[in-house]
Amino acid sequence: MLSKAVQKYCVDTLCIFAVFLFTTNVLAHGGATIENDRCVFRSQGYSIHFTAYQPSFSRTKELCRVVNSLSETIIVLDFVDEALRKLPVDLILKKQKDDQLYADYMLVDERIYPAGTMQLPMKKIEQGSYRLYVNIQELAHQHEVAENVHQIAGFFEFTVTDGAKEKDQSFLARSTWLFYLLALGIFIYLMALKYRS
Amino acid sequence: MLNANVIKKLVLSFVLLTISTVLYAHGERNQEPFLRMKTLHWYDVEWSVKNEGTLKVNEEMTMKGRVHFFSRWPQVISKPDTVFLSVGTPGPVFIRKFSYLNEVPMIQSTGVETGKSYDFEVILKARLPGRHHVHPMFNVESAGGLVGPGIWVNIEGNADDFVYGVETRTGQTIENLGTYATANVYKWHAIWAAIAVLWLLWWIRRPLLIQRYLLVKDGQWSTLITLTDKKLAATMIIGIIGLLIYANGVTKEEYRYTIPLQGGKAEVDAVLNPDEGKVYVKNKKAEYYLPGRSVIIDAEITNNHNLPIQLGEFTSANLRFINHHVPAAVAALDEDYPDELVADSTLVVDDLRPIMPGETRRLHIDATDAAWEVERLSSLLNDPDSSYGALLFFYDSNGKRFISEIYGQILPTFVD
Ligand SMILES: [Cu+2]
Repeated sequence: MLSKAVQKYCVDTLCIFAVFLFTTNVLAHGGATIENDRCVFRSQGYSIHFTAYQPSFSRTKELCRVVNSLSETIIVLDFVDEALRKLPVDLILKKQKDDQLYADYMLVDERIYPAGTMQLPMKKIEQGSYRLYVNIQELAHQHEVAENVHQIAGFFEFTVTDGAKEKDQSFLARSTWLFYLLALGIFIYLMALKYRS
Repeated sequence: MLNANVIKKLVLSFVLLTISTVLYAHGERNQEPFLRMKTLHWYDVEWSVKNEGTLKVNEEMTMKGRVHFFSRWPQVISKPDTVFLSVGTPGPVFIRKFSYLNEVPMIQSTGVETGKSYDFEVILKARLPGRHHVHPMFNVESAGGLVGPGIWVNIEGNADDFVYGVETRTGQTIENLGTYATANVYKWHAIWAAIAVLWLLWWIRRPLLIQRYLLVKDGQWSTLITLTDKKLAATMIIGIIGLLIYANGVTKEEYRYTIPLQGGKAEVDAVLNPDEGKVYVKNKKAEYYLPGRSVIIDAEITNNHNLPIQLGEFTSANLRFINHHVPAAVAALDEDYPDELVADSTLVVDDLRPIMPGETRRLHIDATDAAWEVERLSSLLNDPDSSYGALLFFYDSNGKRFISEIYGQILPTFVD
């Protein structure tokens, strides 16, 4: 027979787990509906969804704020606002330099994307901080947004880190979670002892 | 101590639950893709109000169309033996006045056959002002609500002006169900509450816990209940039973014709499809080209019909991809259909020549649109069931439509 205290802890853990399962189900793809997704940004009042893929490093995983390797990268922008499909769009990718200023890194010429999606493939990417600017050529009276919102070309900021370095870390450094798990085990054991007595 | 802990835990769980429900707020995009691709396919959906149109409180709207229950129903959910035709709205912003499946009233649940289509019709009456997203929806046992395409409807006016009048089978007119016989409801609640409060007071007026506990501990619990207590209890039993019999009599007198709540299921037959099997479709290979947001399918089409056919539309998860080289397919698209659910120009079929009677041809179908990502369908690749399902609409040279299912495994790719 399990002692009462141990039983109680088991029930608690199950409770928390159940709730977590419920939540993670929702959080699974990094956010809720696309409208309040962390990977969505606005430019001139229009919503755009940002995704980066690194097929050789993280396969089909959708990256956004943090890109973890310097390998081949494909940036994909998806238009959330339907109206964008009819407007010419150009891109400027800027990279932060040593003097903290952002300089042009890559340009994509103006084009219309009727399917609402565009991709920016890069053979490799350098470590650092980036800003992706989306400029929209609006037709007159196309979009009913306040004038001041209109003019602001928004950007999406993301950082590139060198994930390969992490891989070189020792087994111990990569397995810190094991120690936390062990500590948790000891804690539960001690608490159970305390309750039993 | 323990109690405090329990409360803390409950509060925490609640916070977590609230977070999750907030995220669920407008849930159609959060549903697993296989649930949206391999369960219900809605088509020919029409609304009596335009997308972004306006209704006044008390005005009615109709939603109708056809819904196909996919034959390769996902194994993780029950077969649609118990389903209920409903609407997906943010709360009770409409009331559902009538709903029909193949003209059979859908007041109750029903059971349907997979691989078959049904005509649905829902009549709604505007109730709460605001801008609402309205979908037709089926509640499927063990799968939850499966929604169809939605439109935005603005309701104007004052919620207090809402009335829901009906005429009963006996010819009686009820002005407003929302306020009908509420006085009676209040009266009876007050009577029962008064009895309950009196009974409680009877016991509470005496010493409550410690003294009674001590008596029980001493084995003298019988002294706790006096003769007067027993007399009162007996009177109350008789009184309550008498009141019930009286109330029942009064009710029967006033409402002579009542029917019990119906617990059975409504029976409904599928729409007959004499063209079944005329166009045979076989999935050969399907890939999702991630960076391009393209679903690319290689399929073998056999035309068993006596006229040449062309692929005009690909539809899945309420997204419609139209082949603009087929006039009948373009004509079938209502210009008011919600923009975000239509991929206007991006269904690419490699071979546009009509498929002749008796011919079998392999087609390369490319359905590209940001919607795959925006509608969260690309998470398909992270699901334990990476399979897809869709409907293909073919049109013959007379513009007649043939609908075929297509399904299979789908794999992610980075190569176009
Ligand atoms: Cu909706």
